[in-house]
Amino acid sequence: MILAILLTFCGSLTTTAQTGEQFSIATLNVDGLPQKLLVLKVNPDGPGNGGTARIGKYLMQKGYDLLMLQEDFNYHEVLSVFLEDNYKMDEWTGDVDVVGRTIDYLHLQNHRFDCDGLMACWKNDLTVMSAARMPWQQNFGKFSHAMDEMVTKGFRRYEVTLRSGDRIVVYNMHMDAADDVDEATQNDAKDKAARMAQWAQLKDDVLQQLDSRPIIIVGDMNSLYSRDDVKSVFIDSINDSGRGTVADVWMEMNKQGEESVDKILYINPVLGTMIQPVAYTVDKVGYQYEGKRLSDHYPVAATFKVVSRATGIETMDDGRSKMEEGRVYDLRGQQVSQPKKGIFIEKKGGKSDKRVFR
Amino acid sequence: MKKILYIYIIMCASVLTSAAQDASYRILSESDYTAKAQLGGNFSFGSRQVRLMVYDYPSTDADGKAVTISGVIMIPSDILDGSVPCDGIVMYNHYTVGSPNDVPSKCGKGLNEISALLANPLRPNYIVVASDYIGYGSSFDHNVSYICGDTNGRNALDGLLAAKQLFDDRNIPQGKFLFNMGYSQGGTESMFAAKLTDTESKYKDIRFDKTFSGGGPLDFEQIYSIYVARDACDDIADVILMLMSVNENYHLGIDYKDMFQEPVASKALDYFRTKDKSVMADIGVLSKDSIHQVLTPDFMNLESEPAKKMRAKLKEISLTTGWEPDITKNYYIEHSRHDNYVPIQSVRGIIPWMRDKGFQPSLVPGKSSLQTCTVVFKLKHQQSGIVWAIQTMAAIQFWPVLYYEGEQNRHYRDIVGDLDVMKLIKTLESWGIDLRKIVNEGSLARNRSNVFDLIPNFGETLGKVGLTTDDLQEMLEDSGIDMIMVARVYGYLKLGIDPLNPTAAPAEESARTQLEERIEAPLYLLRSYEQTLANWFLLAGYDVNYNLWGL
Repeated sequence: MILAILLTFCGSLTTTAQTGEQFSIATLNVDGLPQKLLVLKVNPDGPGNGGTARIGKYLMQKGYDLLMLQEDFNYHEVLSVFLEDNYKMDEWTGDVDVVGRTIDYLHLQNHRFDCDGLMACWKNDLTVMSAARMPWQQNFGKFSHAMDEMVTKGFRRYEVTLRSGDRIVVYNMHMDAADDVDEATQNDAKDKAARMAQWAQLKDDVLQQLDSRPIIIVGDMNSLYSRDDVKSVFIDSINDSGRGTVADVWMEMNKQGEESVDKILYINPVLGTMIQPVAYTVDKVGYQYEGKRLSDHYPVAATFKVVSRATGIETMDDGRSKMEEGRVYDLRGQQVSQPKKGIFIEKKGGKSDKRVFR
Repeated sequence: MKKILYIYIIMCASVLTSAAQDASYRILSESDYTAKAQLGGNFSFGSRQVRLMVYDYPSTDADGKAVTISGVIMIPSDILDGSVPCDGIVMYNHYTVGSPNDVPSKCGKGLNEISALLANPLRPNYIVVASDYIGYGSSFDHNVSYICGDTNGRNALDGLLAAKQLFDDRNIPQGKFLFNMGYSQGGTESMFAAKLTDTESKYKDIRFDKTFSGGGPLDFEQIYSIYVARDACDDIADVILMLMSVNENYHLGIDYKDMFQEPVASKALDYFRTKDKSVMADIGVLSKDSIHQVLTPDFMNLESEPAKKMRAKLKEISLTTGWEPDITKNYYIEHSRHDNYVPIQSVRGIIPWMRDKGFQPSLVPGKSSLQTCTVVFKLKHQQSGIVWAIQTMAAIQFWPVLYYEGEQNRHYRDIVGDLDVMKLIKTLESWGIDLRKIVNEGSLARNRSNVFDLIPNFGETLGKVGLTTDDLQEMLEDSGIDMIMVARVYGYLKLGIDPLNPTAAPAEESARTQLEERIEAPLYLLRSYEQTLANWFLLAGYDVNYNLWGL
């Protein structure tokens, strides 16, 4: 009954089958903010070009099937050098730099970089379609409190077809942070409130999109279960919907190590394709150079196994089949008359391809 | 083209709260207007299209009776059309006008300062609301209430409430910041308006992010006494207006023949009713520079009966009467030491009074802040007003960046707080002041001596920058400079003397060096430096940085 209601676009029926395909996914905040912006030391301890090259090399050697990155801003090209042979990559939305931009320095409170820093890389033999880029509706902090409002943080959603033909949905995101000093002095209530609003927004999107495909949600969530009520706002809300079950891989795998703000959650839909984590790592040993970690986050990775195939209906579609020749659409399939900066889908020559408008 | 709308908006009593009923308004005219930032003459250093609304609204006179007050609202066109966000509202209190045609609603000179506020090259994205005050515009038939109590402050606040109602009605964005400012008479009215937000329930919901008061007489009895003692004022016609305003509004009944010499006594009421300084100009008052040329000998005697009566009323209606200020609010008070129109003594008493109430001086305003700046250059009233204007323009311009999150930007606080103590020390040393010797001798670092013992050591150096030790002492008194603190910072960094335990063994040099390298000092050492730094930087020629101190 519930699944029938979900039929909105060109859904396709799948059949139940046992499958054992395993795939790996990793999330990593690559700390790609510039070390310096004008005279401001934005990220003085960041990896810069040299450190980012080491990160790229590390990721290349690890060879995860799906790489979900955050803060892929100013050193994207360096990172790409190491990944482009084995991976296809989502569109990059730009750096945090004043060069080439018209910035109203007299009213910096109105400025926002339109990049989100999110990046997805997938092995060449996987089929991935970028289905949505959504900014958070609520942020907090532009000139302090981790300056989250200075960029357009949000989430991206991908439709992934595995080698076996099984389909999953992956979310990558970067949620609001707080400065250490604000957390230490308990001056982070508004940061927490913004994060909770983001979890609620994410929950709404998940419930809107949830069909028979399992969903993996990864990213730098800047959230800890001990301080952020992720359980009631996100996990319980989805579980209580009766349409799927949310789990955190770190918790399922016996809480190996300390809790990380970088998380891997997954949702198995009722009567849908089911996945199961078989491995979970936070690589604190390999992600080092001369005794120091390569960036301010450790990579968090999991390996999943597809344990059963769905009987349900896959509903997600960006509406490409309905797009008209010569028109431009946003990632939700809505026609855009005058696209500004960002990723859009352009129907041209019978094809509908994503394009970055700069 | 100017279009007159004459729209009367009658509030529906059945759906309004009592507060909203008070916030009714009437738009008298509405036009597109080119605001220009002019320094004088026709030279403009910026222009901006704005929507200019002339409106009036209900308020009260000195007796508490209902009166309709007029004023203006100036909204940048780019805010109105949505092309830029609105950062907030400025309640602007204008300075003394010489003619009823100069008030804002008459688009006279009183509009110039508001125009400059919005049209200057910084282009702050604020809406400005300005009252004419009672006795001008729509209330021309009423007495002016010039430098005599809280009537004009109440008029200004009622204008703000009415304007906010208008913004609500028209869905005009109001931003998130609210400032209260004015220079000269406006400096006085801004302080009274701020006081009313603490003392009258009607205005309790108005919370100014900051009140910028410049060049305003804040101690009425003191200013009268100073005028008489000095027997001088740069504009004696305004002294006459002040005395008459108190006499008329508070019904003192002092005969003008007992107050003024002829021909002023005969022309006084004519001047008071027309509010036109040309009446005084015609009888030569504007060319006089001695108070005794217009006041009677009896009124020059502060112990005479009419003078005592006047002084008693001035004391009764003073700013501090009945005011228990909310010390979590922010104030900035500026005055020139060489202001011969509004002598600095008229504010000197207020600053320690506010500090005694609990306002803390600070480098940057925190939860509780009173910042002061006595301009040390030899600027007269009008010139000092330009300094004040630059300060306030810069302050409101950058406020959204420094307080974007609704709290003081920690990075800014750290940067300013850290840098300037060291700058101060380096500046003092660059002048040849031997801080090491002073501190090493222990008189200041060990807190065993009067702070002013330090001053004679500065004599020769001060002379090079045109100041005397008396000047410095006045600056100290005005601003709450704590040279002990300066010495303590230096003593710790250079000599390892623990300011809280000066007899203890010196701190390790490595720790001090590390501290100095980070250009940091313990916060408790920083809290009283704002005025110190402002004045010393001015002396050192750091006037570019000076603008920061208004923030």
